[in-house]
Order: sequence, then C-alpha cells, then structure tokens
Amino acid sequence: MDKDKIVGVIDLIDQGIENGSLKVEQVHREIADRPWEIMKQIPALADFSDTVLGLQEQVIGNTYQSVRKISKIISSNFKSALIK
Amino acid sequence: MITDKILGVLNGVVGDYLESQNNPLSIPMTLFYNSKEVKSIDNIPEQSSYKLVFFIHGLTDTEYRWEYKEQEIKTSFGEKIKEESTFIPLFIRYNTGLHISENGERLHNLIQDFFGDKIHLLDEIAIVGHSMGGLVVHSAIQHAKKLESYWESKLNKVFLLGSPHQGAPLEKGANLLSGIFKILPQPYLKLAGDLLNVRSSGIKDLRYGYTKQEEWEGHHPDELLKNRKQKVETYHDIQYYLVAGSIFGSKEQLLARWLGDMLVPISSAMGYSKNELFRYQFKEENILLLSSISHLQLAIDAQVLEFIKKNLIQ
Repeated sequence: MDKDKIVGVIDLIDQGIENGSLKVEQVHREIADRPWEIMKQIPALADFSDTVLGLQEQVIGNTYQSVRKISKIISSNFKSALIK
Repeated sequence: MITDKILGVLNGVVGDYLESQNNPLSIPMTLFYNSKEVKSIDNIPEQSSYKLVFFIHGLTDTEYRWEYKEQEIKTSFGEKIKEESTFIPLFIRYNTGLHISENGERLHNLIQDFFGDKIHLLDEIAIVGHSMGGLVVHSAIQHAKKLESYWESKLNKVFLLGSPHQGAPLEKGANLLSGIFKILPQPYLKLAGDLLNVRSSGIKDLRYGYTKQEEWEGHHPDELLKNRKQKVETYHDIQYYLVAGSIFGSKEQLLARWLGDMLVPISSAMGYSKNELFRYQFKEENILLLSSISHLQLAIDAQVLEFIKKNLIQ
C-alpha cells in the first residue's frame, strides 16, 4: 500500500473516532443525565442534583475531548513520520 | 489485489464520504485492459475500427468480480469474448459509494474522453453491467442521450445482470430499521439508527433504483420509504438483454420470485413494476431467467456467458 493510501486510512480512523465519540458522548450524556433530571424534580434534592449534573457534564465532556485530542495527536504524528 | 478489493468494499460503504473529504482511499473511475490501467484508445491494440465491450461491476466490488478460474487458468467473460470475436474488453473500476447518477455521468465522460479525437474510429460499443453497474449504465445512457454524444449512437447492446431496476429489499429494510430506531425514545437505539445511516449514497440509491440526479437532489437521503423515482426510459435503438437469477430451484417458484438471487428479486431484475411510469420496457425474449444461482455468480456463470456471447457476437 502506498503512502497516500496509508495517510487515507489514518485520516479515516481519526475522523471515525472524532465523529463516533461525538455521537457516543451525546448518548452517554442523555442516559447519565436522566436519574439526576428526575431527582431535580424533588425540591429537597434539586440543588444537590444540579451540582452533580454539572460535575458529571464536565467529566463526560473532558473524557471524550481527551479521546479526540489523543487521536488527533497520534494521527498527526503518524502522518508526519510517514511524510518524512 | 487484496488491497484493491478491500478498497472496493470501503468505497461501497462510505465512498461518498471519502470523496467529500478528498481522502486518497476514494477510487477514481478507471478503465482496465489486460489488468492494466488505460487512459486512452492509444493504450489498447491498434485497429482500423474499434469494437469495444465495457464491463462495469456492482456495489462494493472491483473489476476482479469478473474473474474466475477455468482449469486453473484465470479468465473472465471479457477474455472469452475476446477469444471468439473482434470485441476488445475493457473493465471499469469506480467508487460505488457515490450516487448512481454521478457514476453514470462519469461513465459517460470516461468513454467520451477515452476516444478523444479518434472517436470516429469507433465501430460498435456494448456494455455489460452487473447489479448496480446496470443502473450506472442506464444513467450513462441518459446523459449521452441528453448531450447527443457520438459514442451512444454506436451503442447497440446492453447486458444487465441482476440489476435492481426497482430497488433492493435489503436497502428498504435498512431504511425502515433506521427509521424505527430514530423514533424510539432510547438514545442508544438512536445511535444505532445513526450508525446504520452512515451507509453511502450509492447504497441508498438502491432503495428504489435511482438513476437520475433529480430523484435524490434536495431530498433527505433517509426519509422513510419514500419513492421519488421518476419516469424510466428505455431506448428503441438499443437492444437490452437481461439476466435475472434465483437461488432456488425451478420448483419453488413463489419463493424464487420474492427472494430472487437473495439481493435482487426477479421482478426488480426484470424491470417490472405495477406502476407504469417505473416499468422498464424490456423484450421478454431478451430475458434469461436462471435458477439455483446467487447474485455474485451472475458475473461468472457459464450460462450467462453463453447468453452474452449468443447475443453479442452473432
């Protein structure tokens, strides 16, 4: 397989991780938020639920963002090594 | 060869995406003669006038689809026809993930460019299309008719092997399933629906056998089982020959009609539709019905070869 095609494979994997992780993140958020959204309806737990929900959003966001960043770093390193 | 076959599958599944991203894995439409890429008529044996037969493969395939072994020697329909006639076989490789109408336009341009200023040397053209390839041929002819291209006036015979003129049930099923997934409240099923909808424009065109740009342009590609097919055309100056297959024996006729070769029902391969607008006007005597044969075998089966030779060479 020539270099061009290997670069194509790397790009495709990278885009797959990017798009796939965005979709999975969306589903993850929807499922994870549900119990806290219900608990928010109970006045005594509303503040606590809000805090946990915010924290959870941050953790989920950071996790998937890290996955995307690492994938970008690996793919660009692979590509520059190939071009050299 | 293995890499080419894998790329063929990849292009069939996400070829439109690859092209939109300028990914080098996207397959450009290419012609092959004797397993070598050819760009113009100067790359094939010189003749005073040319009789050419083009072979165009189906979804997720490459020109390797036409190859088979006979007494341990690699051959193909093209090689067999070359041995017994003055026809020169040319094999097309293309990105099957693109819209069929896009590939049709490219096929038209490819044939036109192949001859360049030597187009007057063209004596006769025939095209053999397997599965989706047959629909690409219909689309290329529509382009050529619209532009009054010279090569089309030399196109006498078209062979369509298991082409889903009225669509393929598998694609309709995928459309229905993804539609159901999308309306259900579970987020993970929505994700499954999204994943299912990643399939290429070429595959989605097979839902109803689209061959024209107007049939898909401006419409959501995943709308639920909505047929936007326009009036189909067959032309009197072209002889159409069809092969429809069934994996069943001749005794199980009802099953055979419904399931056909497992990918294309017999009625779809024959171009039949209850709606007159969508019905292709093929001559019954030009249709070969085969039993106990799979969709992929249609491109390498001895009975199909005989049918082509009988109608092309004689």
